[in-house]
Amino acid sequence: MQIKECVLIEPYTCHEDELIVEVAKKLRKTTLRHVFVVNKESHPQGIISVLDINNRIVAEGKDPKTMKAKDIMSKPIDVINFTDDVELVAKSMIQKSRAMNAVVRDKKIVGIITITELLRMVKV
Amino acid sequence: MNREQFINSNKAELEKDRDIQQYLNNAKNEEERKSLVKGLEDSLGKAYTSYVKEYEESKGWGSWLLRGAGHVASGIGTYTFLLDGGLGFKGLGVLLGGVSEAIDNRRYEQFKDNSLEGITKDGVKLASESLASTLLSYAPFGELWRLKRGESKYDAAIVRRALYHAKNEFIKQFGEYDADRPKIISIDKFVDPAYRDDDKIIRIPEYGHEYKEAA
Repeated sequence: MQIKECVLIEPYTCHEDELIVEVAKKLRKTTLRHVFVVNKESHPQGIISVLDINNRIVAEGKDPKTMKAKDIMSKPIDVINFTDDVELVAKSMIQKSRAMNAVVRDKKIVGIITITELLRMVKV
Repeated sequence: MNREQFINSNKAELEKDRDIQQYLNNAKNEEERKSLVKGLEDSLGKAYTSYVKEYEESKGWGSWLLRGAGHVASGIGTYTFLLDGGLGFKGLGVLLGGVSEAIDNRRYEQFKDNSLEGITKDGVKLASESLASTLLSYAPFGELWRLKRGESKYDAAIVRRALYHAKNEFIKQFGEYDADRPKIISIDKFVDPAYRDDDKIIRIPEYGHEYKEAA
């Protein structure tokens, strides 16, 4: 079974040059706690969590109006291919304690796969 | 046949097309399906304007009258044949019908879209049917078949070509169907109600996602 058979979450992204204040605004609009950082070709470059903004900007007294997404994003990130095997991806994500990963097709982000969906698919 | 009649009488046929059904059957909701059907109607409308309208407007009474007179004469000839050899009516009917057929054929040739000849192969079909109907018109009731199929076989050929273009226009409008479109839960399902009224969520360009409602 391949990842393309799973239900993905619409990719929630920001551009790598986007200011952190804008990224933070994006994050507060959803119940998601992460946003993927993409370049202009929509290739995933990194990930920013709510915690990253707290720890790397607020706690360090940096200015969110001048810092950019690429300055604080966690990178590199694992990406899952659209045609990867569901079971292998599930095992890998469990081993790495990942709750979600970006899914790419022709290197472009097409969605977000959650561990819940993977476990539902493999019926572990 | 005007634009509306063309759309209404051919929409159902295109909706049954295997390629177009892929789009309609996989519409994420009723709203998208309606948008696809509207796109189909627009495509049919464009095809009508480009490939049918002029043909329809070129139709005159000449061919129709000749064909009608031919049928009457031929009918008389058929049923008086046993009495006195048809009094020449049969020959006259076939002659008038043949002239009418030539007029219709000429008009069809004038307006048909030659680029599709190799695909629809209408030329061979029409020539065969024309010959067969002429021969059959000598037989009792054969005239009825000729009456029924006379001009309409050319109309049908014009419509077939227009439908081919309408389908292509539809696919051009909605993009090649991607059987592997991702099944996507919209980000809207994860909106925090406390910030619902903030600026709209900024999305990256679409990749032809197939949306699924969140469970």
